[in-house]
Amino acid sequence: MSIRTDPTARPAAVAAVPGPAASPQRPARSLTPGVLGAPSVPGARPAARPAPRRPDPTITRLAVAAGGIATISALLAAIASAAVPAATAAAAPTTGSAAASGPIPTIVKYVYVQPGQATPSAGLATVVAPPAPRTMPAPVVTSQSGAKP
Amino acid sequence: MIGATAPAAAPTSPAVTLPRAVNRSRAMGGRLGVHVAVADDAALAAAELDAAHVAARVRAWAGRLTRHDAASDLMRTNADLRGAAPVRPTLAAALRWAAVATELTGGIVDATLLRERLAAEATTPVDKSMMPADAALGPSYVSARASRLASRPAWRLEAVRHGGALLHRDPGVAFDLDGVAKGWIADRALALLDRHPGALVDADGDLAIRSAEGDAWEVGVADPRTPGAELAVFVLPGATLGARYGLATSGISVHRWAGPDGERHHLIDPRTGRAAATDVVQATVLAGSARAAEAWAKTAVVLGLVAALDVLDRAPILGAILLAADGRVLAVPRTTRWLA
Repeated sequence: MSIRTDPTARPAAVAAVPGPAASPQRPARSLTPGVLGAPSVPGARPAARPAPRRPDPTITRLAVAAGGIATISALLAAIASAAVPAATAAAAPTTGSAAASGPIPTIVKYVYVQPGQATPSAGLATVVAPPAPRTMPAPVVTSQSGAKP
Repeated sequence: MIGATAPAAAPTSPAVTLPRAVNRSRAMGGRLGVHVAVADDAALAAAELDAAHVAARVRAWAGRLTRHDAASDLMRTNADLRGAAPVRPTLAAALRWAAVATELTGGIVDATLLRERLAAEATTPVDKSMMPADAALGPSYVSARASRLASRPAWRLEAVRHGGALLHRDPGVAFDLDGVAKGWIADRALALLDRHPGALVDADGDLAIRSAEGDAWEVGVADPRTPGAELAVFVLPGATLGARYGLATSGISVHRWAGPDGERHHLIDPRTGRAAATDVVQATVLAGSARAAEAWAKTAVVLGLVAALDVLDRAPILGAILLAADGRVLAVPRTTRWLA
């Protein structure tokens, strides 16, 4: 993406740049690119010492801004890529209704306890070997309150 | 009713090695079983006495915590409209657990649903003697409940001497401990049997269990569709330092009533104040205590199948088995370790 700057010279903006301020004792900075002060003439009175050449701050600013944008983009990409494996790793058994309930499905894990049960959509349930049939009931039973024993 | 104590039937599995004494009676509107595992037959007589003693204590606690007796501690507290109502130690302890359960389950377990429960049961006009005196709060009460769900607890206990408390509550708060009390009672009763190698207290389906090293308790999960059938069987072994478990079952297929707007059941969703709309017929949870198991089992039923499996997978429990409305029997994966 190209980044455009305002080609119009804006003294106010220049004055705002940190650095030596324009003053009567120092030559004013030319706004012409590549030319600093008046040309020197042999034998003539030495001109005032030109201010040290400083890079155009606009370019530096643009570079810093571009770097910042790139850093933020990289961070966002890293966060996004880290989240995806976590979601898919936990996606093993899930229910069809969960997957269909919204854009971000609720992840549930379960096993079937009894044989012969149909796997919900996409075959995502884990079916474990059910317990072997017992020949006699357990001596103690947990049940809903009020249930007949 | 006084229970009968007798040695249990012969062991049914190689995992069960120790002799048992059992006291069976009725309490809390259902069955009460106190089972004690002893080192040898010589200890059976003492175990039988202890089991009978514990059963009597359970009935006493239940009598203080029931909503079915206007003279119970619970109902007397509900009827006490003072700003700071005194609460006796047993009720205070049960209410403290209720507050923990509410916090633990994100508000799904709520001991302040007496009005909603009575309304759900109201196939006939509500029994006014069981309704708190300030029942005619109407919309203001509903509004107060909604704000409580979103903000702060509606009640708190201020500890006083000797285990009692002062109850501070919002207007209209009335308690129904129900399963919260059963789980709490089962755990408390089990603690009275610490001198025996192992014990199991069955408080009408909510079980507190301690297994002795080298021994195990086998507990079936009742299939509500077929009397006498089991969905699965848990085998809960002992450990060197003792192993404690809680098993509890909650569901909507036993307590049902026909109301003017269709069938209702007794499990109230605190988010709506009505019988929970759920596709979980029954949930059984294995945890470290009966009271925790009961709280999570109720939560699973109220939340519905998908949310329940998600929540149970992250909950501090040992396992869970759910019977769905479509007939599937599902368990969170870690459950399989405990199945026969």
